[in-house]
Amino acid sequence: MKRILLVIRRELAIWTKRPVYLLGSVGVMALSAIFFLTFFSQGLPEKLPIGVVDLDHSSTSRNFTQQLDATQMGRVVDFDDISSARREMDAGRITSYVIIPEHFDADVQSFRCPKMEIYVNTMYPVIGGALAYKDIAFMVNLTNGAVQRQVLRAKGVPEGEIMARIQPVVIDAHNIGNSPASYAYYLNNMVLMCILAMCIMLVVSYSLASELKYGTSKQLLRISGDSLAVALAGKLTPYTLLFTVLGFVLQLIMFGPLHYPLAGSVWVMLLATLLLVLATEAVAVFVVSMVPTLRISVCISALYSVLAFSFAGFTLPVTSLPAALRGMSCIYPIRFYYQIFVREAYFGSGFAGWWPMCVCLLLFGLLPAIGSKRLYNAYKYQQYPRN
Amino acid sequence: MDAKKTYFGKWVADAWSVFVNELKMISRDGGVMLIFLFAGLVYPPLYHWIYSRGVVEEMPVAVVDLSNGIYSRRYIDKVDASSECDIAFKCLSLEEARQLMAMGKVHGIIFIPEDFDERLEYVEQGVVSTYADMSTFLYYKNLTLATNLVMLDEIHSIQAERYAAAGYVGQDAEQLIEPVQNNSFLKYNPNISFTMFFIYMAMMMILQQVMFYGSSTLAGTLREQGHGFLPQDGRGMGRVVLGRGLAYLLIFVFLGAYGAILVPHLFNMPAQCRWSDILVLLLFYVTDVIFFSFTWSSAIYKRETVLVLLLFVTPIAVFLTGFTWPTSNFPVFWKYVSYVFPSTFGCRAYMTLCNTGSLAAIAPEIRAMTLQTAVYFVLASVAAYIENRFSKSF
Repeated sequence: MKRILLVIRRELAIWTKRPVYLLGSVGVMALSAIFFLTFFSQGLPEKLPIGVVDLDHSSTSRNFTQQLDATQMGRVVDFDDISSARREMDAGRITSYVIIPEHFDADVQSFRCPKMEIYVNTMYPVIGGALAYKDIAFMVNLTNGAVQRQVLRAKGVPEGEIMARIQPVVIDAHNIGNSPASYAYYLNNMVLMCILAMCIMLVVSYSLASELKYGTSKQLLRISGDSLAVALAGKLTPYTLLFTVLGFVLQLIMFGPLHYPLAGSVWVMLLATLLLVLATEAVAVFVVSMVPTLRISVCISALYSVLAFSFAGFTLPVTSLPAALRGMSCIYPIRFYYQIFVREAYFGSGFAGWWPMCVCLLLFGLLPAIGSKRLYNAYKYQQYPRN
Repeated sequence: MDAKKTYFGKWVADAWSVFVNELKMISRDGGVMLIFLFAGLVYPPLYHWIYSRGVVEEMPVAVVDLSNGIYSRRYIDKVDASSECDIAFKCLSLEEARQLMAMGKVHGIIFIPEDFDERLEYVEQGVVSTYADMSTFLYYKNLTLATNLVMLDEIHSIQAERYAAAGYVGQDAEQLIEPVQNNSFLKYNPNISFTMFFIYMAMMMILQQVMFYGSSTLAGTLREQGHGFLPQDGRGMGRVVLGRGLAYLLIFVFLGAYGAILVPHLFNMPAQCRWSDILVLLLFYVTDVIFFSFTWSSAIYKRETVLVLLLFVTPIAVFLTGFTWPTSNFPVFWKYVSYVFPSTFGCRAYMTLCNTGSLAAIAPEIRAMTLQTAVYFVLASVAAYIENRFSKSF
């Protein structure tokens, strides 16, 4: 115990001498948090640019354009001809465009069913195109509704029945866990925790392997009484504390002042954060013990961490991965954190929902045991190339 | 020997020796080779493979049908028939369905109240409630798309039935139901697959990040060993920057052609343009990325720290390309920050080029990248100059 304290003190002294440890953890997380928490602050994109090519110039077509412009989602950009609208859309400067045909007004009045053409650039940032399309389709439907309403009124259909005739079926949509379909709620928690896991991988493997590069590992073993377990416990305690506190602060900011939706208990999220930190540290120890060279182990940690964004399953669900790759997601602690997060923050499922994932995260704790002999030898004899 | 050379001859010889030296250093450095080979060669096909499906198909959905009539069953059957949703469970209560969703067995719930059919028979509005699992936007998209498309279809059928009952059939009814029609053309990515957005962005991003981390690691190594890049006589930062740049250009035009032309071709990604057009874009982009990396790597003094300190820039640069969040909606400050990265223009240009097939469409991005290249070239040269003066003063 006393030896562990000595190692901890030694580690803290290293922190003060070399700024990379604090910059790589606190600095990185602070900058990331500032970026992601402000970048998505709007929640859902508004006022997406939608092109309108009005070939009719009638009051009906102008009315349509104005209504479209007034929707929260859309902002109308006027074009005189189709080719320039097409060019702008191809270059990604507008999401989509609508062509209002000539004689539109006259055709509507005389029931000749004019056709509007809607072109959508579905490559426009993921939801941009889809949202704009939804917006235009909605306006077209409203226009239809308005015309139908006129006809039905003229036929003397009672006012109460008109809406039921125009739209007999309506959908009352509920979004569980993220009712405004906000991008911030959807992405920020997971992206920030992914970056936290990335920092843990990098900083911990850097810290463990730099003992080898700078030839200080023998001294470390001497302080810890020739026991790798004591050395690791001492070295990792400050990191565990540091990263857990960072994770807690982020969770509390999101669920506290920023009011991110949380169906369950914030304590569970803190527990999940602690387990994520421990499991990720275990992976980092494993990497260093397998490849006890500073430059290579840091590279491997980086290459491994970058893929976590894809394998965690919050962008593309794991079930949509090719069958051969699905298993890959299990080597990422963040995958299990994500499952706890969904169960607790979205559904509030309680202990019954998330305990299996906690067990999985704890199992990562066994990883360092596999390579401990190898790491001990590396520390003791420094027989690997330093660079 | 040297004395006989003209200034120009010396310049070329210097640049050449810097070029050869840089290639040697790259090939001898295990860490850099790991970044270049693994990230440069393995990531492109890996990402294509990961995102090869890109959409969720037949997402399991639970249905609570309390009405159990003709209309409600028809609605459910149509949702089941869609490629987006699969009716996996029929529940007796909303509570049961909610529990299935909380356990992750279904990702959406469709609730049809008792009076649904009755209301439709009485010419009132029938309400269908949907509950979407928001843990992934793809689930949300699937449920919304399927239930809304079926709703529109149902509106059509029900209205047609009613007008038929009122004596309007054929074209008369059609004119009443849809007085304004529309044709929709969902261009380039008709099923709104996630793959398409991600892959184009990722291929360009990989080039930039690999180049940056690789060359910074090397720069860090050199500075750890206590010398910079300049030839011993200390003259000419221009030839050093150019000589080193050429070395990377050689490697990255190859990596770029591999990641942006060959791999997408093997994975059948759509590209409307000629491969030579992509090559032109790559030349501009890679040059830009090289000087970008030189400039920023001037600040790296230790080899391993670059990954520890700056890997988090990758996800930020990814979001700054605007591939998920539209550029038109960036907060102003971040919009300006995005101009720092070549990837902001490179990814957009590559995506546009692959979709529209003409270099003319990406002229603004090419212009921006050229400007960036010029600025970064000057900055990189100045940084090399300052470093040289600084190190000589010892």
